[in-house]
Amino acid sequence: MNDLLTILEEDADIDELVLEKYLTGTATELEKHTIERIMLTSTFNTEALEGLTAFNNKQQLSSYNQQLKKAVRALVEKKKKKRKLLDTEPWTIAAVAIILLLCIVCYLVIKLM
Amino acid sequence: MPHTKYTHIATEDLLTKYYDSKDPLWIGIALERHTYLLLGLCMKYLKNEEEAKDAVQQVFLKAIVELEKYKVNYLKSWLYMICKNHCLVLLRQQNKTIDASNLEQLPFYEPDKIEAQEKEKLALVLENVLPLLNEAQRKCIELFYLEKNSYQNVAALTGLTMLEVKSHIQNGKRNLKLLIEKNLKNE
Repeated sequence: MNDLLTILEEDADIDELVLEKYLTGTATELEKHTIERIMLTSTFNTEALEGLTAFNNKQQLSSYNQQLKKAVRALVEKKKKKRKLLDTEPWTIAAVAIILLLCIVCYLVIKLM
Repeated sequence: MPHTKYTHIATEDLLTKYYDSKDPLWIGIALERHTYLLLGLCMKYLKNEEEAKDAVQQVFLKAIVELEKYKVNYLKSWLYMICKNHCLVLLRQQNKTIDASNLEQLPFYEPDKIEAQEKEKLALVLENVLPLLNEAQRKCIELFYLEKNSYQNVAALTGLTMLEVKSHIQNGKRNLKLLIEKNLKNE
């Protein structure tokens, strides 16, 4: 009866590799059962599986997945760079500003001489 | 490079790490875990592969910006909400028909965790209420959950279509939950 308790499991996570096998029709019977069981654990999962099965070329899904992961990483890198700039120590900013100011002053002095 | 070395960290812990360190790396790892689900969800609503892919990227961007502004405890349910709303907005912009049931504001839900001590009690209740389901639902539930068959196999064993099997399992599951609630209330 403990197996029946999986009826009450909430929002279980999916193994991407097994999901890919399921979508491309190469999953074993037990793997098919596992994916179908997990997909019943939340509306998100159920609707996502419905959408994924609507893709014409299931072989391409893995490449779409990788492209999207790459896109996340690019967004994270962009965010990191922006954050790094904002996190720069105030004295570094001050030093750069002073050097720039000195350069401008030197330029003006030379120009006036 | 996939973030395989972080697989042992639960998604909610990744969020905590992000809020503690403000390092967007943690959000990235958490979001990467949901690419397939988001892609499937966008495809379900937009019914166009390219539009679905673009929509997922927009949802990622939105998520990274929004997560910085306020604290989210359950990433998956929050992502479901913003992704579905994003798709519905896109459909409205395209003047496509939207199923009225999708228009209601989606609530946040927090997963119910069943405590270990409750499991034994629930197993007993389940045993009592399972025979109360109608024949087709009970048979499908047993073949699916107890004997671990796929929809395809359950269909072959019962003579039902895959759609009927799926429907019996979904309805049976819902009815079982209601029966359990009723049973526990009466105790």
